[in-house]
Amino acid sequence: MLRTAAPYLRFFLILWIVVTVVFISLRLAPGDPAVLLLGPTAGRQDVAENLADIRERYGLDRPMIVQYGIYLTDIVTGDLGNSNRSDRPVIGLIATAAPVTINLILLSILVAIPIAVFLGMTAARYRNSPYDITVRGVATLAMAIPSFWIGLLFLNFFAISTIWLPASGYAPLSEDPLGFLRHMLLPVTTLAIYLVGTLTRFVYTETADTLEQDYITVSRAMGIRPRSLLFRFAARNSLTPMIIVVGVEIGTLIGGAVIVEEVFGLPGLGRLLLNAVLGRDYPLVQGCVLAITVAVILLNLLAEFIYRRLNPQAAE
Amino acid sequence: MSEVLLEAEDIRIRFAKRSGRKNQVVRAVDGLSFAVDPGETFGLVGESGSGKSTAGNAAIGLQELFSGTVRYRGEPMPVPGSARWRDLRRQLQVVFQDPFSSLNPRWTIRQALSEPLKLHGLASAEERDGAIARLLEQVGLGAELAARYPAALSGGQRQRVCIARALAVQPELIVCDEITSALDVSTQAQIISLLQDLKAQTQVALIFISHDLGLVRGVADRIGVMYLGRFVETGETGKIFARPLHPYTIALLHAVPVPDPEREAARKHQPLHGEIPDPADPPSGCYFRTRCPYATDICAAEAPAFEEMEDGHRVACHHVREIEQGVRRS
Amino acid sequence: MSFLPRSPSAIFLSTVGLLAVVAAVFPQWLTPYDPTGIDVTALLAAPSWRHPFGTDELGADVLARVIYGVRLELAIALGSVVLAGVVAIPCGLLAGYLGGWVDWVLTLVADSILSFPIVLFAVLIVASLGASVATLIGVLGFVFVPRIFRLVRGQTQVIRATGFVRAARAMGVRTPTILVRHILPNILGPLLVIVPQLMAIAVLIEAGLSFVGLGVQPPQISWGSLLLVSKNYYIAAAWYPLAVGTVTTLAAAALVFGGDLAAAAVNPSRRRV
Repeated sequence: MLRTAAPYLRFFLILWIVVTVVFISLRLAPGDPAVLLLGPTAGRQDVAENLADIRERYGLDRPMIVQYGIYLTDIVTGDLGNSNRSDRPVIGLIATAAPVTINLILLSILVAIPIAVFLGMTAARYRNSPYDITVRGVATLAMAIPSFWIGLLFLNFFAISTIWLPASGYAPLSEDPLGFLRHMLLPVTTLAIYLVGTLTRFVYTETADTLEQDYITVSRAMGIRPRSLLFRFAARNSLTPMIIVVGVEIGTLIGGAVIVEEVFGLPGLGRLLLNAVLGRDYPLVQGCVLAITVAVILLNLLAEFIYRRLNPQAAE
Repeated sequence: MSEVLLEAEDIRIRFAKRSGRKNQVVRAVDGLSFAVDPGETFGLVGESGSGKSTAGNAAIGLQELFSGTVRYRGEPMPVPGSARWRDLRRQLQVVFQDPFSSLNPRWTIRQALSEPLKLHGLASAEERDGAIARLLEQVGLGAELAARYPAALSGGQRQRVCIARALAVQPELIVCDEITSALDVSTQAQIISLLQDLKAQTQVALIFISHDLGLVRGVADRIGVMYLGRFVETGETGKIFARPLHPYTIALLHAVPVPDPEREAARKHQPLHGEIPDPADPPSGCYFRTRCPYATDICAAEAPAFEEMEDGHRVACHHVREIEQGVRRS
Repeated sequence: MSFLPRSPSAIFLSTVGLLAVVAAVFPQWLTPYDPTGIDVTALLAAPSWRHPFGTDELGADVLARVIYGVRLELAIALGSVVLAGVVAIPCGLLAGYLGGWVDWVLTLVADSILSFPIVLFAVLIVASLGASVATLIGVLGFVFVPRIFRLVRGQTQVIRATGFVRAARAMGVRTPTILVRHILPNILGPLLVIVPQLMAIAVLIEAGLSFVGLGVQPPQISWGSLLLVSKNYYIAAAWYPLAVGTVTTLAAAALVFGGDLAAAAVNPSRRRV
């Protein structure tokens, strides 16, 4: 029984460690935590009593272990505190900002995968041709481009100097589909570039490996056309592991999203987090980091689960 | 009466195996007893899966036993990793099957041979080069090979280096675990010849493990034939070849080609049918009955006892006498 | 295994690498200009023979600033990877060789750290401790540990099963000696592959963090901080951000490419991308 429970146990342990790390890291800051938690309003006259409130609420004058207990209970009950700049509940702010980021990342993945698969597989098909070398070179460069730099480039070119696309802001899909697309086009392109680079390289390596296998040679000797070979054999073998890669890259994408949202003024989680950090809004920082990290862990778990279903041999 | 060098008494070794969702127990070695005298070569013969490598490892303390004892010069084998166990490594050595992975690819031959010398403090830094040169010469290699890397050596040469490495500590017993199986036939013969020379020079005892009965004949004084973790026949080499008793031994012998083409063509072959059963789920009674042309009901009901037929020559078979008469008749 | 580069790409990369080291240690050899020099007469000048990358908003030569920035880039990239290696390599060796609960615990910790998106974790730490080069190196080092750990652990498991390790164990060689003398030399190859890859990540993350103000602070020069400062001049003086961004991209790409070459050298049967 312990054996079947072990993976879930691990999952919860990881979750717990992550949550604890967030707790510890925010308390590493020098200075009075109450002041920090209160933020810029700490010094004000009418706020003197609020310091005491804060201390009471987070148990800051009590032993660390009690604070930790309060922290854990809060999380489990979903109470992430209030932003100290706007005094609105952190949960609410996250819930409003999350869809933007989710759309951004999801669209980037949906755009990047077909492009990467096509480029990677065709390059592997024509190995060592000029086409292949170009594709690989471009993919490597795409991985290396700082997303904000290329984002600003796009912004300046497509939005500011030529007013084809809006320079910033966001329109929800449900309210204004065209506006949504116009606002998202540049950010999604920017974020997708890195992903296309990484995925293309991966698909290329996987496909090239598969194509080298003996059973491919046998099939070709039997007279099956290369293109159908590509799609029937190579595709399935190369694409399944890609799910894992996407899962792994979600972390990087989130980091990219933080930057991209800042550049394009998208009101997503990334921007929320950034402003929280710059504004010393600790409750919000804590809430954002927790929410995002837990989401990443769950997504990775999902990716692993899908991969195991598609590839039963991997379950060992 | 000289002391027995190594003695295994009713050793049993089990492994846990997960097959799908079930946990199975594999009885790799299932009640083996044998002894090796100083300077003697004991041949351990069997197919893959017979447990011979496991038994060989257990004999020198590299494998944990489920039950039974292994004794070296009367002393029970110490716990692996203990100080006494490490001391015994000087006396008990092993050479493995694959010469290509048995040497660290990033070490020179000199470094590989220095390892045992340094470990057991057998030669000071100045003496080491001389010792290495002598070792290489002992196994028929030139001293200039010491500066080379394993990649530059052939399989046969590498295996000689491994033998030299085992000899470096001047052990009393070396386990040769299928040391020729990865080599081509002519190289195999060379290695056997080398072993014969070394036996004469150093009086080292050997446990020679192989699936090739013909090869074992060239080195072993006594032979134990294993099947699924048990001995089916043991005895002196000469006696076993002259008078094979167990159907399995007979079948194995038939697989050894005779150099004379006319005799070979005239021989009656009795090939083995079927496959070796799953060690996790062996047949009831006598393990060999599923492939034995002489099997009857009693073979399924009861495991045969180990009987001594002539001096030192033992066999485990219910029908050994009838088989022998039948063979003589045909 | 020969260390000398043979193929044209390898030679090219090695030269670039050498230049980078020179730029980090003796930047004054590569440029006559003072990176902090203020020249009011030539603000945001276009590229010319005198100023290949033009000048910035204070009149300083952009190329010089880029060259002087190499030092910090290299310090951050190399420093974080080395820091991570010092922790991760011993842990990986132990986890891979000993297995059991040691492995279980260490892998759990490593996976926990891996669960944090890198930028997020950096942001978290910077929020508490403030932005500085030291924080950056520390955070990146921390985040790289599990990646190196996983590699070392996997390789150790593979090598532990080889014949020569079995032979050494059968000979009675003790575990620490086996780890250092047998296993370590054989994992250097794969490590050589992952080091440039991680360095590329470090460069890009530093760029990103400095760009949002959470990385290198003025007056220190890094490419990220240069990108931040130049972001207002895409229209007026496009060469300024373009030059810095291109250099950053090429540097990161070169590092990734270096990793690819190392991978091909270490494992000739593996396909090269």
